[in-house]
Amino acid sequence: MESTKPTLASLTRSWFNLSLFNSRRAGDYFEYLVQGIDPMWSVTECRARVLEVRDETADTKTFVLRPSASWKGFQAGQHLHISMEINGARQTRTFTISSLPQEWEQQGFITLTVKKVPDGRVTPWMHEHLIPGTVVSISQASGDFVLPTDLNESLVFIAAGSGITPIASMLRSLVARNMPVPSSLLYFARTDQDFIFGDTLQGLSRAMSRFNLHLIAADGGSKKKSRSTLPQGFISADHIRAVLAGEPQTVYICGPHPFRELAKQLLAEQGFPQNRIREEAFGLPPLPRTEGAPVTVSFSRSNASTTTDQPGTLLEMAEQSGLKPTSGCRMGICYTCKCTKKSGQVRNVITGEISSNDEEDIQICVTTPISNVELAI
Amino acid sequence: MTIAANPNPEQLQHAPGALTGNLPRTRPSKETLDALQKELDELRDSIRADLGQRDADYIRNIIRIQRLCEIAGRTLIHFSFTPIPFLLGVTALSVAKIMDNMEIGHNVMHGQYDWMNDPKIHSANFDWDTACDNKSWMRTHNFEHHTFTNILNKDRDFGYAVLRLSDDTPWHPLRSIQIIYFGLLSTFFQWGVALHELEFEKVREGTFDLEEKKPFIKAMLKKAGRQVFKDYIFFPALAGPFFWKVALGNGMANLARNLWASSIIFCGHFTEHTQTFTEEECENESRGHWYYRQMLGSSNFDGNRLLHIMSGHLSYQIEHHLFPDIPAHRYAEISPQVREICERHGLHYNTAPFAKQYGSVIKRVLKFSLPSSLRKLTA
Repeated sequence: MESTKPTLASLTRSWFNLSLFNSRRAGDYFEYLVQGIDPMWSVTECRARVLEVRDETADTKTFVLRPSASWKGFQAGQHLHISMEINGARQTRTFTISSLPQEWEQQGFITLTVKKVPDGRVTPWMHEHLIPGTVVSISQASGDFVLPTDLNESLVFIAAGSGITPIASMLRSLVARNMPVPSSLLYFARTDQDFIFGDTLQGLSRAMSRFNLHLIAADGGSKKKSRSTLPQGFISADHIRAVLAGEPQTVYICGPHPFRELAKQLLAEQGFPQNRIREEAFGLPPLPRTEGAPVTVSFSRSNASTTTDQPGTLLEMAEQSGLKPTSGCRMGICYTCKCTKKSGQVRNVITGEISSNDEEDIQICVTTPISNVELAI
Repeated sequence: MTIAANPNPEQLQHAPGALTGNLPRTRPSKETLDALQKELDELRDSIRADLGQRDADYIRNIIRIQRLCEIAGRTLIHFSFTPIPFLLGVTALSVAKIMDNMEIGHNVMHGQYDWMNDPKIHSANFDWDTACDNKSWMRTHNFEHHTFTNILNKDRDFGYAVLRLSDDTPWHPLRSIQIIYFGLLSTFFQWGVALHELEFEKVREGTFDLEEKKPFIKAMLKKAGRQVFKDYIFFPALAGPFFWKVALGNGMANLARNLWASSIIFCGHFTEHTQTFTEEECENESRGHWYYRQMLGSSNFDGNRLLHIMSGHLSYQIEHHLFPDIPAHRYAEISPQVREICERHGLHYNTAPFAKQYGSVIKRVLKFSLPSSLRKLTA
């Protein structure tokens, strides 16, 4: 992503920019000037203006955004990073685009559907302060949690909670194409009131006979609303067996980490091949607590260090030590937090991959120390 | 200034106490230091908790003004054919360079705006319009100078290894003309700062290690090369036949910035009554003692808001040394509290008008041109 090899042209450009503007990107020099004229203008990133905010459920809102002209569009199921200034400090979070690519192409807007995380730093602020007229920064869309390019067999979608957002976008996109293949959705939420896009999905399933909807509430729900013949409650082999009956081409899973693990285990038990499962990670997996010797993380540029026997991510440890390294998505996507590890071994909490002991660039938001580590922060 | 024959045993007996212009100072009690630590920590925490939109808006506005000044300055220098617009251009470019170095660069590199989480003004990335490499600056200034402030033989910013500002530095006949070095250092200040980490004084002492300094020299040459390219090749070449006019204008702006920045910085630690400390005195010092040393080792000057902004708020050097990572434009509002704490604990809050402080710097440079023996004769 960031490790493209520098070419002679790019090295020359960055040398000129450093000479004339004291920054590798000339745009950094002009950014504040340009923003002072119109906050929608930017020479370094895409901007978007909030057009409208809609309530979806008690704790979920949909934000309608109009991206600036430099935004390049998306495929249903992709996500973007949105950066907002909260009391002077820039905060970045990642959300799936919940609208249709056609809506952006024809009407120039996209929507993000955001569930409020209690005690969160960003989502409660968004619910309260991100009002029509506000300008935010957005990244280009990215992600490979998208529909297959050649659709010939049926599809199964399994979602939990706010994990519905990319799947809703894909389903609506399929409906817009007149549902070329049969598809089923297993959607799990706590209660009947927690189904985000519940009414939209029910409308789609009424209109499209080739779309099978199963709304499943953990508290039992009311059969009348869910229209599902499957048992209510938590995800089980019954649910999986029912949707696999149609011999799907691909199964898409989106939801919290434990939910995805459970769904994958149930799919494996039914003999569904791993390589036909696509999943979208929402948030970091819980860090397994490694009992044992305490580790020390030292921050060489700041002359600070911290020692603990229950290390979190390096970013959290730096912040707990009073440092303020730049950070973005906090889930290993945006590389804003990338910094140089001088020595020590770290584990990537997403992939479980263990690093070498050598000096290398790492993303501190998704790595946790497994030995003493020195960071150039 | 004479050496007290029988100094009060409570008074510090090390030589600089009597010889450097240090005010008589008594060793602070543990209670005093603990109280200083508690009160100043609380003050710092209250400001940190209050940081927000106001500070973000402030620094971005300053950056906008700086950009406009630089663009205006370079445009005027480029297109001027008579002295007045040319001098206006030089003035605008000087102001831009001063703002970039002082209110923006120095402060951003202290991490004062890191909490904004904006890579453009984060200490890890920021670079400035001066010959000094940013990483070298962070090592010599942020770490060395701010940690070991005014500890003789440890804080190399005290006299920049060029000026003798205390009798602890041995006298040598060449010291008698140090006012000339002072003038040269002021004139070429950006190069003095750029070369600071070279520790050239070690050549004199015979402990210079070229191998160890190679990474620094490489980084320094890279950065210096870019600065020379910008001001003396690129922009002059854009003007074609008026190459030398633009090079002259840029050189004048660099000179103005050098003189201004050096004056501000000298007023922060070289004024008559800024105190020096010995290594023994500061061994295993508490945070309270660190605060105490910062307060006595720094000096402020008064002035209007424009002067404060153009000095990067280093006019509040005492507040800056106590809280180097608090956005500098906040120093004005906390200075009454700092002064109150200072005075309540019987510590001297060193402030005076700018001209007076600068005069006392010159006085100190002249005074220590002479060895103490000779000074006594002339006194």
